[in-house]
Amino acid sequence: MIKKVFIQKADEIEAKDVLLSQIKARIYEEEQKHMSSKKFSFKNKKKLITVMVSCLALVSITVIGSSIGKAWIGHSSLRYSSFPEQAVVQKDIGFLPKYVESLPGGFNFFMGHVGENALVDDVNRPIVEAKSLSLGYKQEGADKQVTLSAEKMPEQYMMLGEGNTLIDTYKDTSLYYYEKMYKFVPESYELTEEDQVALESGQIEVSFGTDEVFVEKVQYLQWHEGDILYSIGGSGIDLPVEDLVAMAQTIIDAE
Amino acid sequence: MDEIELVKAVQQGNMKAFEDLFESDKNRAIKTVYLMTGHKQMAEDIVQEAFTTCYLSIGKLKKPECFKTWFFKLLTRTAWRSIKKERSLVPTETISELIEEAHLIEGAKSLESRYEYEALYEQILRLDYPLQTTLILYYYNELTVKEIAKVMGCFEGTVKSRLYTARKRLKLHLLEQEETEPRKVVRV
Repeated sequence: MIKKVFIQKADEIEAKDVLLSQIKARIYEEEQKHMSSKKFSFKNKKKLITVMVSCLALVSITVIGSSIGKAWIGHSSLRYSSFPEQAVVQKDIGFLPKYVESLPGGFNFFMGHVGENALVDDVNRPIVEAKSLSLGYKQEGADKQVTLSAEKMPEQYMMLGEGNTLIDTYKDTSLYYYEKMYKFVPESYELTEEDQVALESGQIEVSFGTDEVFVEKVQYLQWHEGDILYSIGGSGIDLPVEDLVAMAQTIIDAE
Repeated sequence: MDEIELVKAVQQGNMKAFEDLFESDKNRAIKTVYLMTGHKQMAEDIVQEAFTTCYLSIGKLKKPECFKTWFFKLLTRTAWRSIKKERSLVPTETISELIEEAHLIEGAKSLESRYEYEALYEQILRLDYPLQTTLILYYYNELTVKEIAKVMGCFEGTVKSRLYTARKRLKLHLLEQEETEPRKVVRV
């Protein structure tokens, strides 16, 4: 009898389809909070910046239809320690972007992440979800690293031309360039008056969450092919724009 | 992938594996919490919180083969915390509303058994949390006494004792109810 009571009562409810999206949005938010409060060791600095570069293009408030997007939140996990085959990437992220093993300037693949990002509203409901691939490339004999990321999303959410500048066109593809000085600081850091002035004038952006205070220039190039948004760049790389353009052309030419 | 492999993959940060784990457990989880709370919205909120915590803390699970009991422990404790905050719990429908609805669509015989079920469920909800949870885990989730002991952090003897006590109290409650309130039967 007790079992029948439970079975009958339990039949009154089923898990809604939207539940998984809500859970993922909460996970992403918790991870973002965790990232901003976590003490990053010096050796993790590059990873943090790599992840951040792929998010810098995204504006903080986006209005889409009647929903107001509050923020893009994302999650990524290390997946590839060797150069991944196309079939593997297709299976992992559900689409196949263009990518190569080596980039001009002596940059070679060394690691890859797959990720999921979501634009959420003010109650953390996902409005848009996007899967992504991020591949890291190290320059031979130097400490420089660039990241190539490819993210699939509807074109109207790409926001190209907002906050970055059209600088070239290659094979009918427009290339947008972004460059900004970033001051990376620990979570407990208090902005000085000098920082405030620099922030307000647009000279720098400030990012919280690192172990130490340091300033680096963040650079990246963006373009899209259909519903795949590409970006290539890095932090502290000090590369001429032409070098990034050459990298973008290599990707655009890839099969 | 079987459950152990899925759990190991989630521990590596594999979101796809977490989605698969969620799909296989979501209905069992939400139904269990609904039985504990009698409240649909609360059940959804609790399950959301439990799965979120599951993903974020699964790295602490040393034995992936113990995922089931680990997760039920997490789920029931999340539910208890929420229930304690919301002291004025009300089941989604009262007995009288059910009788009225049943009058329109069911025969007398099935109405009587439905009344019995609802009356029994109402009494289960009035048991204290450890007794209630023990009943749900045993009868609905079909966990063994050993598994329930792990979930609830008690001895197996305590689980058996709670099952016995819960059944006894339910029997007494129902007998008292029959004596004080004559059963309403509506003939269709």
